[in-house]
Amino acid sequence: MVLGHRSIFIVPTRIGLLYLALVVLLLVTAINYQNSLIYGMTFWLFSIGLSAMYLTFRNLKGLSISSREAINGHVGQVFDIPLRLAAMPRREHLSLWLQYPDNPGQQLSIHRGESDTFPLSYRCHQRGYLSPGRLLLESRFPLGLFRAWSWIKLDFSTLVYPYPEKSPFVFRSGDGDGELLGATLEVRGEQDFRGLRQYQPGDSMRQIAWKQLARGKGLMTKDFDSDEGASCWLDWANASGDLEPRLSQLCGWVLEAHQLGWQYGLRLPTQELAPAHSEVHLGACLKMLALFRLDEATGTRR
Amino acid sequence: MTLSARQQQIPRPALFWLLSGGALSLLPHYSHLPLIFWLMAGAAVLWRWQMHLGRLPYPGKITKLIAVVAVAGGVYAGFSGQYSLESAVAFFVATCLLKVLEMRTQRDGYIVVFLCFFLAGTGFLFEQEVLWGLYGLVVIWLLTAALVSLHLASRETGGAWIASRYAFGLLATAIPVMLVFYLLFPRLAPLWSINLQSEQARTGLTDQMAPGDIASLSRSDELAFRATFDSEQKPARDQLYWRALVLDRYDGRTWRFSKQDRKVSWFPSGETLPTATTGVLRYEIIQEATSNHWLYTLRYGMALEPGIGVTSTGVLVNRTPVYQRKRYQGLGLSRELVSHRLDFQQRQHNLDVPGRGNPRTRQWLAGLVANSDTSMDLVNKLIDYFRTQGFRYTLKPPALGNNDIDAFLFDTRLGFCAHYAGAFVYAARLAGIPARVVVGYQGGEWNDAENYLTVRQYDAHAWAEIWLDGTGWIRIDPTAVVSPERIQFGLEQALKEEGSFLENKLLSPGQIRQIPWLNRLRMELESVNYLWHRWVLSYDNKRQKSLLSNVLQRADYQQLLIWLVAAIVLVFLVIAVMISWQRPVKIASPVGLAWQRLVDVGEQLGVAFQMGESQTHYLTRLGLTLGDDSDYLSALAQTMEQQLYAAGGQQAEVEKQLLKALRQSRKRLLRQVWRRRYQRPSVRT
Repeated sequence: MVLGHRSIFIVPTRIGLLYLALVVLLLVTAINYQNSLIYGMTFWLFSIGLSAMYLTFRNLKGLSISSREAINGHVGQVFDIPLRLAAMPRREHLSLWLQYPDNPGQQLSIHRGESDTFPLSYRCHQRGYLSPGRLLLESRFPLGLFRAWSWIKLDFSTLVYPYPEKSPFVFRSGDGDGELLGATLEVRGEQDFRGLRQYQPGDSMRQIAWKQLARGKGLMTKDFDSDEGASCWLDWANASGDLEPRLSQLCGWVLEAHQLGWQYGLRLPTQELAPAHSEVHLGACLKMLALFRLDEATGTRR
Repeated sequence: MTLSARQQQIPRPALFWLLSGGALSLLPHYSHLPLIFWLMAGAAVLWRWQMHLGRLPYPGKITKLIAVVAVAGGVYAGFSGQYSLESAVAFFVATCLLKVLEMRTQRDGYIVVFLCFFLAGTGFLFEQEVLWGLYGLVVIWLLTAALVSLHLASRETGGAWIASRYAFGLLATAIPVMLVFYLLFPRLAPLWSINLQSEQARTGLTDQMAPGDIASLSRSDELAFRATFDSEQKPARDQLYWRALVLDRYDGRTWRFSKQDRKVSWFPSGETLPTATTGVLRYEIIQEATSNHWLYTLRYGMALEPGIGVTSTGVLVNRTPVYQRKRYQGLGLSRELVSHRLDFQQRQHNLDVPGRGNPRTRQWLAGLVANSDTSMDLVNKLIDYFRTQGFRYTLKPPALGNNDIDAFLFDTRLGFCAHYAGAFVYAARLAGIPARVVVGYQGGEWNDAENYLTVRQYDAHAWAEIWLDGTGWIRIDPTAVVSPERIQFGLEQALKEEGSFLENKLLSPGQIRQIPWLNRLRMELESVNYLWHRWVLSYDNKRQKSLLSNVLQRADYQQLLIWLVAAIVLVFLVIAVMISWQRPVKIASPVGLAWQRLVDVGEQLGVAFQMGESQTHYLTRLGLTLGDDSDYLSALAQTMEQQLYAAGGQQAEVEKQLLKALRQSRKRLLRQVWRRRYQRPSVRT
């Protein structure tokens, strides 16, 4: 978006008021000593203040702001939001301050006709589509007498997954779905290596035989005995607590199961994903958790 | 979280601007600050710079305390507790110095800049010449640049250039509003009476004349006043006797003026202006501050302005002491146009001399009176005495003991105007002729370019006026017969042999006059300064009114305020228009523009460019929407990527290709739009 006069606010700062006091003091001096030069200086400084107001405003006006998508992440994580600021050919925007409220800000300048892309930090506390709210863009350049600012809302389709809470798996035995098949719960560390096979899209990165790749033998996947056929359902019903803690628990399980190389399915009250194991499947599961009971389109609570 | 909290430290490059602006804003105070202040200022600036370089730590509490005590001691030592404008300014300077020392945060930076602005402003109380005016501009520029640089990060490249550019731009764009305010803002009378007046020893006349006073004036080339005459009048030099004070009391040592005897008729006195054209000199004077009441009068004066009066002795006085430069109109009437009166009391007063002393003079005069027929005859004899008896004009007369007039007239015969005028009046009074001493200035330097007269302190002069029954007061200048050069050509010529003219000045107009081109330069500068004084410095309430009545046909304050408010509103309107003038968003390159136009067409096809989307991605989406026959779009995407990664040399060539591809693609997209718009209905039917 391009900043126009409607979206920019401007007020004098405290320093601006102090400056006004200085001008008044000089005016009183000029009047009492009937001194033309001090009169001239007073009015010059006053007029400089007015010009500064316009320049402060112009320092924001015409600046265009856009953003790229940030990388998906979890609740509680700091997102680096890639912002792109661009100046028009004959405009410059100096000493800008950008900040999401309650997050660390950043100062930077955009020179004539240039543009700059840089990451702005935002710590997200809400799953769904990344929605950091309004971004503060502020400038006191050139004299600090006025503060011009704008609140900018940018939309993202970046997903924020629930916080991954580490907790032991819970599988309820019974109807067959609630069981872990083909692997023991206590599987940790080295597993039986069965051999290499050709890489298939969707294979876990963890299982890629990097050494073989380095030797120039192409992409191979390491097959492990114990993982073969290990399959489970991660069920909403097996998690405990309110909505968010449950989702956190499920999220932790999904990541864990994925890391262990299992085939895992995810079952939520309204939707489910059949067991599988791939990066795409992981993404789908996490997306389901991120958007569960949220408005699909906007990522906000229904 | 505020900005000032975020940027705690002063950006490093700002310190240069802060220190240089601060040091230069101190300079106009050179004339009145004691030496110790310059040492303190130098120490403060050096110290702060060492801190900047990291060679010294920031001052701790104890160091600060020591600095405060030292500076306070400096102020006290410099002014020994006197309360005057100078000591107030010095105290203020001391505050600035301490603030400079401890300046650390951005907020401190602001405070220092604002203090320096005020310091530069008060500098104009002491120095107002045009060069100082320009100098003040430089200081304002530096301080504004300091403010700008306070907002630039230390890593900002080209920060110095940005700061100086913005400061210049601000100063330049501020000129119109400044001029409007300067001309239209009501020039009010002082809000309260200022007790804080300069104690600077002003060189100038004093209200008494003792031997030696005028000699010390003659060593000063300070400006006393400038005068212009109406309608090309240019009185001869020997007519330029500027009367300031009439001294008619003599106590045997010193001439004073009698207050009780002085009646002042203030303007408007009800007197009608003389209609005669001959014998009337109209002039305007821009007088430097004297801290005294008197004004300068050529011949017999007449008050023409409120606040000015004319005394019974025919000199102009101001109601309040002239603390600031004053510009006023004057009228000089020749003797014939004035009715002269001398009542008994005044006559006695102007004949009064101490009963004793100077026996030789008394004896000599008794002889002269016996041999003279008329008063005029006697006066001529006195003048002849000065002319023929080997008197010489000198600024270094020998000391005279008791009976100083005896010693001067008969022994030393060396002296300057005060000696001659004093001795003459004394002698005239002894002879029964009412007489008085007049002090003022004689002569001046004409500036031919601007046609005005500059009178300096070394033009100070004293002469005599005597009363002749039936004629009135007439001017007698005994110095003129002793040293005609003094009257005809000025002090410099009169002292040519002695070489004592401004002898204790290193470089002065006197010396400069010897070098032609330098003298020309000096005269040019003088002209500029004169115009500066006439049009800028002396712009006051009165001149504001006359300007308004001339230009706007409005003279009263209500109207003025309306105009001022209108001007302010206009300024804000202009700013508002500038602010709201939304120019269409321009995209830098032709490629960008072509891309934008393509996207516009794409939107008509229902595919809008999304925030954060890459161009390739957009083209892919567009292709998907169109279905078949969209290979050209993927080709375009390829070209665009090529352009992104093209080597420097090929950039121009690739760009040209891309531009072509963009335009062609847009045309094909447009065709698609048309097809959809007009063919779909026909397909349906």
